[in-house]
Amino acid sequence: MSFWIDALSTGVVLGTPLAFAALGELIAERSGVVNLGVEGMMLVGAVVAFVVGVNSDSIALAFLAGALAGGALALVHAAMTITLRVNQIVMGLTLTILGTGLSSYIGADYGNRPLKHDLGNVDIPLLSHIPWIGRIFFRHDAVVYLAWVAVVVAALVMYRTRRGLWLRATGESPAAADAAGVPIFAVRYVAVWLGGVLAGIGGAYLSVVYVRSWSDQLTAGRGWIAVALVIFASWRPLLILPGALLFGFIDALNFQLQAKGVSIPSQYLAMMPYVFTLVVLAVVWTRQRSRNWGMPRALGSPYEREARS
Amino acid sequence: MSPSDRTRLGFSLSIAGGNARAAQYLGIGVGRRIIWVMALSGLLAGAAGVIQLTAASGRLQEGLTANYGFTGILVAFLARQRVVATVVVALLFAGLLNGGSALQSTGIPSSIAQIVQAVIIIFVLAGEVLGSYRLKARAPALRAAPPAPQAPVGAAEGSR
Repeated sequence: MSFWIDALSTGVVLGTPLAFAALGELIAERSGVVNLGVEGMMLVGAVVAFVVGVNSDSIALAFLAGALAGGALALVHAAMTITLRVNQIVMGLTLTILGTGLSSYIGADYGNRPLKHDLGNVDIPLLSHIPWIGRIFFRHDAVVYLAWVAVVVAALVMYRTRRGLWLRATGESPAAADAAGVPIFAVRYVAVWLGGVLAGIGGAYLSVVYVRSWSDQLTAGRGWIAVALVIFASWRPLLILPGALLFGFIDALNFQLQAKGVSIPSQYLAMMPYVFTLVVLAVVWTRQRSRNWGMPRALGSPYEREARS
Repeated sequence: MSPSDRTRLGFSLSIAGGNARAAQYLGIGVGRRIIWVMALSGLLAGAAGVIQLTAASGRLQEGLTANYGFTGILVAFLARQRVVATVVVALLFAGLLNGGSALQSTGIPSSIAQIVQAVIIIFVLAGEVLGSYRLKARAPALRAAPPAPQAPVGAAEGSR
């Protein structure tokens, strides 16, 4: 029993960076911009946060720096794809290469540096005393809860406010939104930037809280899983959370099973997130009449005000 | 243009990729072609993996392809999907990657090569767009100059 509780509890922790990064990607994609640079932005966020964390001994400052670094990288993507209307897929892949190189360059001297401070666990009163559930969900560090709050806030903003309507309209039909007076270029810039900020926070969580050290390729493909998670959640913010918990749990299960010496090759579990996403895609796409299933209609296409539609 | 316009198959692929609906009206089976082309490109990617294993690395290890797949997408895009250009761009990128590992022996981190590679792509992408605009230099003095033609026009009107 305690094996499963441990695995589930670690899954909640490992789902946190995924939730942040996927939420960011979701916001960007809802504005109509794909950013495949999540992996790169997470890596740069992770390394910058770690460097700041080591040198300043402040976890909050580390997270802030990681977020800003991710946001800065995202602004490159925004300028290239929104203003210059470069192909979003190509630019995103380039951003991942850039982020991978930059992070390895910045972190070259930080391989063995220790972090002094620790983010203590916060037990939520009452809830943390529920048998099993309390240990799985409510005895983590504050950033874990922050991820849940961020997801709920994003969902509320997206569906209950004017700005959220702007975001969704820009992603569905930029021409119509533009005609209605929505500042679509600003909306897209902010959405892509927010995507970078959240990816940076996700990366920072990995380096500063979870692993507490830096090594090249620290994120180990979690940025790509975040991209898959957005599709898995069918572009709905509230579905990010269960998806992140599921993918995080698979990740945790992998560790726990290795530690126990169970003879399942870890590669099978590592490919599960992608298999799940494929299965969900196949099942929903064959069942649903409307072929795009929550996918923003203008996703991937740059908006050119002068173009004839 | 794309893959090859010299053959029936190549031309029909170009049409299917350029405008799927028009291709359907022409009786080109777009879905079937997509599946076949996907299988074919998977075959080529697999062949690339075999070459990497047998000729370059010589042993099977995790991370054998070192993200060459993603680089391949960029190469195809930068070559604007032209077959011969793909080879040229691929050679350029191979040189960049190899140069990076050669740099390592001189003490410069090989991550520089990745950064340079990304920066090159960014500049090429930006240059493609910015190259389609033309900067017009306008002397500031002209804008500030008083509207010279007005007086003659007024004079002409007065003389009428």
